[in-house]
Amino acid sequence: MEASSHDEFREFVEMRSTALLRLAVLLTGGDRHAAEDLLQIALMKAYGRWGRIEQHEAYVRQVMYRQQVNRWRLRRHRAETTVPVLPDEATGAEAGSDAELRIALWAALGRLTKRQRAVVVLRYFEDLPEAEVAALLGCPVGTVRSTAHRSLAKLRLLVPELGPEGPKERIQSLGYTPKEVQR
Amino acid sequence: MTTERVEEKVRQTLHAVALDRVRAPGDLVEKVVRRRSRRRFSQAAGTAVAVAAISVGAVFGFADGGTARHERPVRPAASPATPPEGWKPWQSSSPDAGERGCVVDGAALYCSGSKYDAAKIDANTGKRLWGVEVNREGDGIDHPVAVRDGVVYAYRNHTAENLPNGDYFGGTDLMAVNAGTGKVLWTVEMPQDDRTDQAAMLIDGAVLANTPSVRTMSALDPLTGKEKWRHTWDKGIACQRAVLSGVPYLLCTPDVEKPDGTDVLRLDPATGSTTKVATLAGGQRLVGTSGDRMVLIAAEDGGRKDMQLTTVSSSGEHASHPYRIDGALATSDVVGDRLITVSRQGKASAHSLTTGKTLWTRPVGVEVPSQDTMPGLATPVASAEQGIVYFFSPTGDLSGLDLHTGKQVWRTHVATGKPRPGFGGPPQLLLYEDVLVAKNGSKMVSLLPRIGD
Repeated sequence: MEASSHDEFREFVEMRSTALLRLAVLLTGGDRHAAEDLLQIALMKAYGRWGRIEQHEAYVRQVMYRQQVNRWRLRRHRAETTVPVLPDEATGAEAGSDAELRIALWAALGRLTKRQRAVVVLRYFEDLPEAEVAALLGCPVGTVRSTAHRSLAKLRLLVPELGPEGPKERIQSLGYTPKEVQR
Repeated sequence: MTTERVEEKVRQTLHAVALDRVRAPGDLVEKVVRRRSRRRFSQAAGTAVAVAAISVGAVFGFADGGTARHERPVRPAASPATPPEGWKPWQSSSPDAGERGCVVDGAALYCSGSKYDAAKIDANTGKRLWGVEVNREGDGIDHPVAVRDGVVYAYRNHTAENLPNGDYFGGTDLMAVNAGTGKVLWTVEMPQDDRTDQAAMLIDGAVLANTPSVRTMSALDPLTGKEKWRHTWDKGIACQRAVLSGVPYLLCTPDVEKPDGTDVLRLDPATGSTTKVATLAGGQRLVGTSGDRMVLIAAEDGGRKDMQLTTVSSSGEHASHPYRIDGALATSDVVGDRLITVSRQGKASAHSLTTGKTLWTRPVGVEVPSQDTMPGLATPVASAEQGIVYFFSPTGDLSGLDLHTGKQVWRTHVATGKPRPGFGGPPQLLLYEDVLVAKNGSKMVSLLPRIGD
C-alpha cells in the first residue's frame, strides 16, 4: 500500500472505528472481543484493496455483515467472560417492567443465530428496508423476510413477556395480506 | 403483543444498549496492519513447521513437509471466485526462478529456484521482476521464509568455495532482501542446512532464526540481522518451534525415542524470557496452528494408528481427543478448526480439532501418486472467501472440495510438465486471493477456479 493510502486508511480508522465497533458489538450480541475481531477482519480486507474501494465505510460495513453471517468461526469458544454491553440501568420513569423487558430482550438477542442477529440489527437498528438488507447480505428479499419473522418468533419464545403471536400475525405469516386479514 | 410492538421493543432495546461505553482502541490501525502481515505470512509460509511435519511424516506417515498453512476462517458454503484486478491466466514464464518453492505476498510471488535464491514474480502476469542469483548452486526444495514490511527472508548457500579437500559444501545463510529492489540487506550463517519452516520464522519485531547453534533460537533485527536476544536449550533436548500471533513458543522434549513429556514454553518476543505454560504427556509433534492454538499429535502407547490430537492455547490450556490414522497419508494440513488429511487411497477427510470427530470423508478428486514412484500431493490450501479446500497432484489434477461437506465443487487438469531432475520435491499450490497458482517443478500455472461452471 502506498504511503498516501496508508495515511488515508489511518484517518478513516481514527474517524470511524468507534462507530463501526459499536455496530460490531450489536452484531456479535455484545461480545466485545468478537466485535473487535470482526472489525479487524473487515478492516484487514479493506486495507488490502483500499485504493480500489470507492465507498470505504460502506465496504467495511458490508464485509462486517457478510462476515458475521457467513463466517465459520474456527476459534474455540472463549472460556473467559467477555465484556458484556448491557442496556443501561433503568432510571426514573423507565424503571419497572419496560426496563426488565429490554434487559431480557437484549439477552435473547444474544441467543439468535448470527444471521438472525444481523438481519435484526440491519432492520431495527440501521432501519434499512428489506431490499437493502438483502442486497447487503447477498440473499433474496424473501430470505430476509423469513429470517426476520423467525427471529421475532424466537424472541417471543425466549422472552415470554412478549406474548404469543396474535391471530392476525399468524394469518399474515401464512401468506395473507393485511387487507385480507382485515376482511 | 403485535408484531409491530415487538419490532418496536427490539428497536428500543438495540438503541438502548450502552454503546457509548464502547470505544475503539487507539492502536487499531497497528493491530490491523500487524495482523494482516501475520496472516499473510501464515498463509504463505506457515506458522506450523516443516521439521515437525516431516518428523510426523517419518513416524506417522504424513508425506509432505508442509509448505503452506492457512488459518483463515472459512465460509460454510462454496462461493464463486473473483479474479484480482489486473490478473489474467498465465503459465510460468520465469524458468529457473521458482522450482524450489514460493510464497505469496500482496500481488507478488517470492520464489526460490535453480538460478535465483530469491525472485519476485508478478502474480498478475507471471513475469519475473528481479532475482538474487544463487551462490554457486540453487538446488533443494526450500522456499522464501516470508515477506514482511517490504523485506523478503530466504535462504541461500553460505559459500561458493570448495573445501580444502576439493569437495563442495555450500552451507546455508538466512538472507534478507529488499522486496522492492531485490537488494540483499543482510545475511546470517545458519549452523546447519535446515531450510524448513522451523529454521526461521517471523515474530513480533524480529526474525527468529535457528542460529548460531542448533540448540539456539536467536531473535534478529529484521532490518539489520543483528541479534536482539537468544534462547538456548540444554543438550539432549529437542525443541520444535511455533508462533502464535507473533509470540514464539517452543515445544521441548528429551531427545529420546519415547519421551515422557513435552514442555510448552512461551518466549517473550521482546526479551526472550521464557515461561512454561504447559507440560503434556509423551512426545508431542507439532502439525500446525489454528488461530491461537497449536495442534499437536502423539501416538497412544507407541501405536501407529491410534493417536491423540491435542490443541494447546497461547495460555497453555489444552484439550486432547483420540484420533485414528488408517493407512499412510499423502498430505495433511491444519485449516482453521480442521485437520484435513488425504489418504494414499485417495480419500480426503476433515477432522474437527475441537471434538476430534471426523466431519466428512470424500474422494479427493485427484490422482494420488504412488508412495514409491512420485512425490506426494501438494499441501492443500483453503480459500476462506470461497469455503473451499483445494488439492493438487503432480499429475496436474486439481480439485476443490467444499470445506463444510467435502463435496467436490470443482476440478480441472493443468499441464505442468514433469519436474526436472534434481527438484524432487512435491508440487506446490498457492492462493493469490481467489486465484490458484499450481507449481510442479519449474512449471507454474495461474488460474481462477470456475466454481459452478
